[in-house]
Amino acid sequence: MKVPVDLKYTESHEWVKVTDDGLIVGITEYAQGEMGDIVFADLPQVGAEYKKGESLAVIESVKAVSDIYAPVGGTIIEVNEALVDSPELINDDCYGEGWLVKLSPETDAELDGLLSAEEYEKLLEKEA
Amino acid sequence: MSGKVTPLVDHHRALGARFTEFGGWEMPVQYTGIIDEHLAVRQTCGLFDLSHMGEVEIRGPLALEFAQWVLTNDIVQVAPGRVQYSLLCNEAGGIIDDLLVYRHADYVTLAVNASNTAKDVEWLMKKANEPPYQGQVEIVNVGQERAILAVQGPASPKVMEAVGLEVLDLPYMAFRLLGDNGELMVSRTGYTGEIGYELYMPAADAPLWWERFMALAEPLGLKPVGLGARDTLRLEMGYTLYGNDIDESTTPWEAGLGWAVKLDKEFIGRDALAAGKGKNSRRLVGFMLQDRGIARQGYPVEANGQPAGEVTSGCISPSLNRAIGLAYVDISQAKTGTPLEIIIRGKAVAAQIAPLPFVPSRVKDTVS
Repeated sequence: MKVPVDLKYTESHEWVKVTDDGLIVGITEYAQGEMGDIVFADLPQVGAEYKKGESLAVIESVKAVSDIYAPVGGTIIEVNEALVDSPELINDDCYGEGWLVKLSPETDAELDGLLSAEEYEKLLEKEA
Repeated sequence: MSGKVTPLVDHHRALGARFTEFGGWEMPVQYTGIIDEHLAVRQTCGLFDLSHMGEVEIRGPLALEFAQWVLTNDIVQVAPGRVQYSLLCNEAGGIIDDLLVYRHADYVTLAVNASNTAKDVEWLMKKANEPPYQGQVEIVNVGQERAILAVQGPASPKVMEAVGLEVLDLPYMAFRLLGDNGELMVSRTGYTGEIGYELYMPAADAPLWWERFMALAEPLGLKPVGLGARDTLRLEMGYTLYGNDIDESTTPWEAGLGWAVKLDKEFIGRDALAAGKGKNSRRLVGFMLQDRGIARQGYPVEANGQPAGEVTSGCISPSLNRAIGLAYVDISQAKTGTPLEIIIRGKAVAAQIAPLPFVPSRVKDTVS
């Protein structure tokens, strides 16, 4: 199971990449594998604001509907438009082409509450 | 795992299956992926473990009379060696279960839904204890000692040939008893819309048959298929699923299953069904979304902004790459072509009532 060391993680299986102009958010390899074939991504509007833990997107596989939660509070500054026509990118390349949204965090303080790769791997071991 | 498991659970695990709870059973929901497995059945052939399904025999001197009394369809019109779709209804005409009836010369076998097996057996035993059937009818729940496999898809005749089963002359909805003692029942039936076969066998024989299919027919394109694809395959055909689209609160008329109700014979629920015929206020229809999204069970349906019903099943059709589903809608809005809106997470998404099946049925195709 791939858990890149340069990313932060949530207990609900989102990953977060800290960049100069905001946080890129996606779902982990474990999460996409659990969901199965992803066939639809319902993404938020640019400019929408979310508090930490609020559902900011919905991803649907053939069988299931899954909420994606804001890893930290913030404002959506970009969404991955490629997912509209090709939601399977989330299965094929969850840490790359299959990213979901970019958000501008309200404060940097909440970033400290995210899991490191090592901590997330421990969480996966527990779930297995 | 908390539920019951089939004799093939280790085979599924070895194939890397993902499991789900269904009707009290731990069943493989997918092996490689639902879309992949779905398309394998449409294009070549899939192998399913359906051992969770129930198998109940009605035996005894009055077996056929009793079957005629508890079932809505007319089993007497069907020759031995044939299979008939039928319904078990209560006195109010509500559907207790939908099932296949295998007509033998002097008894019948019912193939019933896993989640309903216990309920069906209890109902049948109760009714078999009433006159004139008391002591003349025996209800035998044989499911525990049996396993069921299905082979579905255009290559399934070749697959059956490859494992040495002589069934290619069976027409749709017919069956044959094979094996040294007739212990293997093979029917040309299925729940996918493709040419296919279902095999009912002693549980102890299931591992050998599974291995035989995989060894001899994998080169022909046979793939193991889980319950996830079984659901999308049946939904493309508009086949109802008990617990989703039909239950004891639905009648055959509203579910579009009136063709399996024969009012010219006596049976439990007949009077209520005769009285309700043509008077149902809602109808199960197929719909396609016109816009992006997926309609799921329980989502509200509107027509012209007014509440008109509820979705009972929905998915993305892997064959059409469009969102499809079944919904109960007000009878005034139930015509093919009627525009509807499905309310998905608070937003109205345009839909239209579509003719069923969504994908052409090939169940009656000639085996060449």
